[in-house]
Amino acid sequence: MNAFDYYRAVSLAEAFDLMRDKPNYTLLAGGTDLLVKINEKIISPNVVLDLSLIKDMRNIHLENGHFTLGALITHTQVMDSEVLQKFAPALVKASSMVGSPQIRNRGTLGGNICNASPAADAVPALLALGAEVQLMSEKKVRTVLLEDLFLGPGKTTIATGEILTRVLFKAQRPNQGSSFQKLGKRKALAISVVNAAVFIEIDSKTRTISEARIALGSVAPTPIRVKRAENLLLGKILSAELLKQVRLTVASEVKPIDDIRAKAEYRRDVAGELVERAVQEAWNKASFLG
Amino acid sequence: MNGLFRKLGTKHLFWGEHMNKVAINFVLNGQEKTVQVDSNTRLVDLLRDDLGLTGVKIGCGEGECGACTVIINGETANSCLVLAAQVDGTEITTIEGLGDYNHLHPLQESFIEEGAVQCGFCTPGMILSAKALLDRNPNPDKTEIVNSLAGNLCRCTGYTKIVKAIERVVKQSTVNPERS
Repeated sequence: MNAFDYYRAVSLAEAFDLMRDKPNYTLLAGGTDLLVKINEKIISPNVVLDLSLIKDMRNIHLENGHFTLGALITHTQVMDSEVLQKFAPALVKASSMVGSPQIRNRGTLGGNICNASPAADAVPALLALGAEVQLMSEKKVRTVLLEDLFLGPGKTTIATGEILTRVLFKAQRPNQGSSFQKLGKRKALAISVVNAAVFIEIDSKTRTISEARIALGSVAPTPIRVKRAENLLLGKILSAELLKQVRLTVASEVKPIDDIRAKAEYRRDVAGELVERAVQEAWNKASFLG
Repeated sequence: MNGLFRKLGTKHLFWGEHMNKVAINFVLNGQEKTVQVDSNTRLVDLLRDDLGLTGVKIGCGEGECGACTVIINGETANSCLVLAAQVDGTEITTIEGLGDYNHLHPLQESFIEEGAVQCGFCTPGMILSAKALLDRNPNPDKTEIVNSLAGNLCRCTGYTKIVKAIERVVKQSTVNPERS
């Protein structure tokens, strides 16, 4: 491991001070991705700034149907949260499929986002939930749609001096359903070959789909939404024929590559299959009664 | 020393020209420790090289194998993916904290009884993952046991005997609660 200076902040104010003084900082949250990269000399930071002790970034808050999650909550915290189990089950399932217990105990939701891996498990779930993220700097706070954050593998629109502090999305209502599906090479400790998350809302009067979001990982340089497939669902009642159309549209809409885990062609097929399963599950879970 | 660094606060944990030495205080297997570490030292290296706890194994060095598993504040972690500097103020348990030759921990006894140890390299991590599970949930079912070991690879046993060893402790502690 290369030599670097280690600093840690116990408050955001302290973090911003350090970021101003040491502009070549690298931020550390859970460390489960960062320390692998440092160990393997993929990156060689000069200054590591540890945020993990900032207490007010560790809360799960639900008010008036809106979730505000501190970016430092771990995947284990997500899994154990009763309100998230009830009102954001797709996210709970995604977090439960990250790495291993040891990784989930340390790895954070914010870290999963900021690492900007195309295969991040929590990100498609959050995209399906329509999540926004709060980016804070010393002087200002901005809220951006999560889907606008990613530029490419490892690249985001987060500026120097900014910290991703919170993740925001709406709690699921009874007439809404969500699902997360993942294919890895094995059951645990597997980077996704493809993952997919779906959110749908059913209009209680017409019993047709009134809102739909479909997001996938490992099928493009960033996690993506497939909006042509989403539009197919709108205004319709789920049927075998509709599912088949959605499946084919997803397979043509994603842009996967060949890599060590799978061929692009296989990923297209799997993407269609996982979305079909996810749409079906989300539909089944949403109640017509609203 | 302890008090001095506490008072100075986290921003001033550093000294020297390059400020890459860090003083940390933590509780290791029930004993308070104050040590100085290089800021880029991994927890696994501190425990093995500086503190002599070689029951903490290094396998993959990237969080896949779980041989370096330790318990930090009640939760398992891969000590190859934690900086030593980060454990300031925490409580850490390694396999050396569970029992000794004359007084084995029930999990250690059970691993021997069930033949759950072959080469032994994964065993400390396995036992610590099992301990963290039982501390949280004293009566887990088989699925919960298997899931709790998902971050610990064994290339010898095929896991069956490891799972049996943990089930045996669960049974014993439900019959005879004071043992665990």
